[in-house]
Amino acid sequence: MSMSWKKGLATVSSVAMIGVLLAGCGTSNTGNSSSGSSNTASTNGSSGGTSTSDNSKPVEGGSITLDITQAVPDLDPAVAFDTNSAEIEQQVYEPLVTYKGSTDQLTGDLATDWTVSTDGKTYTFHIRNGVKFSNGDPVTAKNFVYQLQRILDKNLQPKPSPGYTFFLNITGAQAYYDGKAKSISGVSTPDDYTLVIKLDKPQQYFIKILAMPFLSATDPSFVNKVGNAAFDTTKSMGTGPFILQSNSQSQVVLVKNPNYWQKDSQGNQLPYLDKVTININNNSQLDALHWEQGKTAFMSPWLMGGDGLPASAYATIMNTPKYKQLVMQQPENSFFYIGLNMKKTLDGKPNPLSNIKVRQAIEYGFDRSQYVKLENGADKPVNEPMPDSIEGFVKNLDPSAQYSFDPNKAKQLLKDAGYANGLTLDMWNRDTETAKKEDQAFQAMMKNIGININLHEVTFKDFLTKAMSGTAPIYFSGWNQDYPDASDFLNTFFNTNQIPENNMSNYSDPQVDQWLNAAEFDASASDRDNLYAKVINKVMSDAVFVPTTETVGHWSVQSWVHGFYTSNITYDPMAYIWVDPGHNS
Amino acid sequence: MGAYIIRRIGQSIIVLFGISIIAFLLLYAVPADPARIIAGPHATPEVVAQIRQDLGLNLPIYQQYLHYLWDLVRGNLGTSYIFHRPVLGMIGERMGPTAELALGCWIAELIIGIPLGIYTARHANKKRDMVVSALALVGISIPVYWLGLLLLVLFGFKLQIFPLGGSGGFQYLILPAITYGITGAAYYTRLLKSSMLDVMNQDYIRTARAKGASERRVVWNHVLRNALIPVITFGGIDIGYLLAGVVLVEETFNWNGMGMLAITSIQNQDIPVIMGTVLLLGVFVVIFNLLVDITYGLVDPRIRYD
Repeated sequence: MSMSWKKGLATVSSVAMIGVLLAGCGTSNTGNSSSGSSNTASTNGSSGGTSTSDNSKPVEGGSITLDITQAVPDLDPAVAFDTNSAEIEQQVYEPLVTYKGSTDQLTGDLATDWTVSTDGKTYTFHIRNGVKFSNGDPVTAKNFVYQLQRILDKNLQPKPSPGYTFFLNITGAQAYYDGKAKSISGVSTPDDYTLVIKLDKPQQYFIKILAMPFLSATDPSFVNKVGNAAFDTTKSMGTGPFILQSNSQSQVVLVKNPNYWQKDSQGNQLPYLDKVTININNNSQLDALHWEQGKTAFMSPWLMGGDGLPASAYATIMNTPKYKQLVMQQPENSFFYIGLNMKKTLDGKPNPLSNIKVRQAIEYGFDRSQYVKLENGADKPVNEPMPDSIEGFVKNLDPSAQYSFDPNKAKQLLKDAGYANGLTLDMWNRDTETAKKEDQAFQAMMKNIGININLHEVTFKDFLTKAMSGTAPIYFSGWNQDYPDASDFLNTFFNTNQIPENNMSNYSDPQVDQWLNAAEFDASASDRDNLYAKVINKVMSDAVFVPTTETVGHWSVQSWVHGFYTSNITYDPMAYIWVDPGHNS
Repeated sequence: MGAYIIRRIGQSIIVLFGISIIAFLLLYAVPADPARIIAGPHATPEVVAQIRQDLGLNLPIYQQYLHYLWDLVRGNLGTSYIFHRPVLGMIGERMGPTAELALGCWIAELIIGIPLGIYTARHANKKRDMVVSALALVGISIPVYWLGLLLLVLFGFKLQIFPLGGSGGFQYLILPAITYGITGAAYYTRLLKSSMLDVMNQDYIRTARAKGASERRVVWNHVLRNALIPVITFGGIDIGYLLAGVVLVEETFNWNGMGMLAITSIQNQDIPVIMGTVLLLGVFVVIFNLLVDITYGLVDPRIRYD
C-alpha cells in the first residue's frame, strides 16, 4: 500500500512506500525538435497519457543522462517498493503482464496470454518462449514460482517483501508464509512454459497485482551466486531491456541488454539506447538547471518525486515558453485528503470528531478552491476519496455526500453538536514547505468557523508512526495507487480489517464492509462499480475524509528525445526512447 | 613534551568516549523504531520482533552500548538500514571526496584571507582597511548555500565556465572552494591583521627598522613570520572543522562526500549511518585539535609544556 507525498517531500521518496500508478486523462502539447524533425506530444488512447510522436526512423545507439533526487535503495523486485527503485527496476525486470504504452489496457509481458476459469479462481499463464535473462539463462515458468516463494519468505534477506500481503489469496500462500508448508500448493507448472495459479477466492483485480513489479522473473542460480543483499543493491539481473552496470550512492548506470526479447513494430531490436546514466543529485535546484541547460534528457515524477517539477523551478519552467512547450502533463493517480478520526476516545479523552456534526462542520468550512491555488493551480480539486481516473469514480455524488463551502452552515452544525463556543482539535502533518502552507490555510478556514487547530508538523516517518497508530485526530495524508483499481483506495481506507495502519480514521461500518468484501472477493459481484459507488456515497455522507486535490504530474522532455510517453501506471519508457544524433551524453 | 603528548592523547580518548556515547544515544534520540525501519511498514509484528531481537534492541541500554563499543573497537560501525551495506565502507567511499573538498576550501580561504590580512594590517585604520574589513564582514555573513547557488547560476549555468555541481576533477572543485573561501577567509584576515599589528609594535621590529631594513623585508621576514603562528594554529583546527563542516557546501554543489551522506541518512532515518558519520566527523575534529596542540610547540619554540 502506498502513502504518497507532495512537492518538497521528494527527499523521502526513496523510503516512502509507493506503488505503481495508473493511467489518467492526458493533455497535449507541442514541442519543436532542434534537429528539424517534429516532436509532437499528443494524447494517446482514451485513458492514456501524452507522448512525443514523430514519423522519423528511430536511431539506434546513443546514450542519455538523467538526474534522480535520491539514491536507489532496493532493486530486488520482491523488496523494492518506492518510486526511485521502481524507475530502475522496470528497466531491469519484467513481470508476467504489463500495461500497453500509456494506456490502462493490460497486455502480456513475459506471459504471451492467459486464461481465467469461470469461477474466477484459476489463472493459467503461457510463458513467452525463448526469453533469456541478460546473462543468457532461459526463462521458464519455474522462475515465477521461485520469485513468489521469495515474496512469501518472511525471513528473506536483507528484509522481507513489503508486498507479500498482495499474494495471500493464492491457495497455500498463507501456509507457506507461516512456514507450515514447503511449497505453495496453489501454484504449479505443468510444463516449462505454463504457470497455473489458484486462488482461495475469486479476485477480479488479481491480474493487476501481477502487473506490479513484485512477481518478476528472477534467476535462482544467479541470486544464489551473488547473495540476496547484493542482488538487492548492486548485482541485479533480469530479463528487462537494460542491464544494471552499477548502482552506487552517487550514480546508477544502465546498459543495453543484448539478449532482450522485444522488438519495435518495424522489427528493430529494443532498446534503442546503449546507455542510461542516472546521477543521484540531492539538489533539485541543480536538477532543474541541468535540464534547462539540456544536459539531462527528461525530468519526471518518478525521478524528481512529487509532481515531477522541482518546486524551485516550477515558475521558471512554466512561465518560459521554450521550456513550457516541452512539459507534458497528466494527472497522477494519487490524491490528498484530510482524514478525520472517528474513534470515540483518543488518548483516554472523548473525541469530538466522533460526532458526525463536527465532521460535517469541517467539511462545510473547508474551501477546496483555496487549496488548489496553493499548488500554483497545478493540482485538480477532488471531492471523493479516489482520483477521477480510477474506474468506479462517481460523477454525481448523492446530495448527502456533497459539501459546498458554507461557513454559516458549519457554525450551525458546531452549535448543534454542543460546541457553540468553539473547540480545539489536534492535526498532524509533515514538516515540509508545502504542508506548512496547507496547514496554515486549513487553520485559517477552521478558525473562521470556530475550530482552533493545534498543529503538529513532524518528519514523514514520525507522521506515519502517529497516523498509522490510529491516534491522530486530524491528519493530512495522501495515497498513490499500488495498482489501478478502486479496491486499492476504498478497501484500504474504509474496511474495518484495515484499522489502524491503513484505515487511520478508525472508520467501521458493517454495511460498508459488506459492500467492500463483495467487490473484493466475489466473482458474482460483476458490477463492482455500483458497490464502490455505494461505498463512496456512504463514507462521504459520514464525513470521514475531506478530499483536497489530485496531483497533476509533469514530464519535461527535451525536444531531441523521441518515443517518450507518459504513464501513471508504469515508469519512464526508457526501452522505447531514442535521441537525435549529437545529443549523446 | 612526551608526557604532555601522552596526557593530551589520554584526554582525546576521553573525548572520543564522550562522542561514542552521543553517537550511541542518537539511536534513542531518533523517534523511530529501528526494527520497523528495517522491516518496512508492511512487516508483521512477529517479523519486527525478530529483527529487534537480532539487533539486540531488547537488551538493557548499557549492554547495547557495550556491544556497540566492542563493535567499534573491531572497526564495525554496523550496517545501513536502507542500503544493507557496511557503514564503514559507505563512509570510506565518501572520505576521499570530502577530504578533497575540505582541502580545496582551506586553500581558497588561505589564498583569499592571508593577502587581505597583510593588506589590512599594513593599511590599518585607513579607508582601504575599512573597505576590505567591511567586505570581509559581508563575506562572513553570506550564507554558503546562497552564494554557492549564485555562483552556480552565473558560472555554471549562464557562462558555462564550470560544471553545474557534481564531483570529479579539478574543475568541479573550483566553485565550491571559492564559495567557502569567500565566506571563511575573513577569519584568517582578521586573525592575521591583529596578529601582525601586535608584532609590528614589538621592539625587534623597531630595531629592524632602525637598522635600515626595507619595509618589504620588515614585513615579510620579521612581521609575517611571527604573526603567522596563530594563523597556523587556527588553520589546523579549521581543517578538522572543515572536514565536518562542508556539509552545506556538499549539499549546494551536489558533492558526494560525507556531509551529503549524513544529510541523506538523516532524511532516511538510517540510524547506523547517522551514528557512523557523527562519530567519524567528531574523531576528525579531535585528531586535528590534538595535532595542532602538538605541532604548536614544535613550530613556536617559546611554548613550553609543563
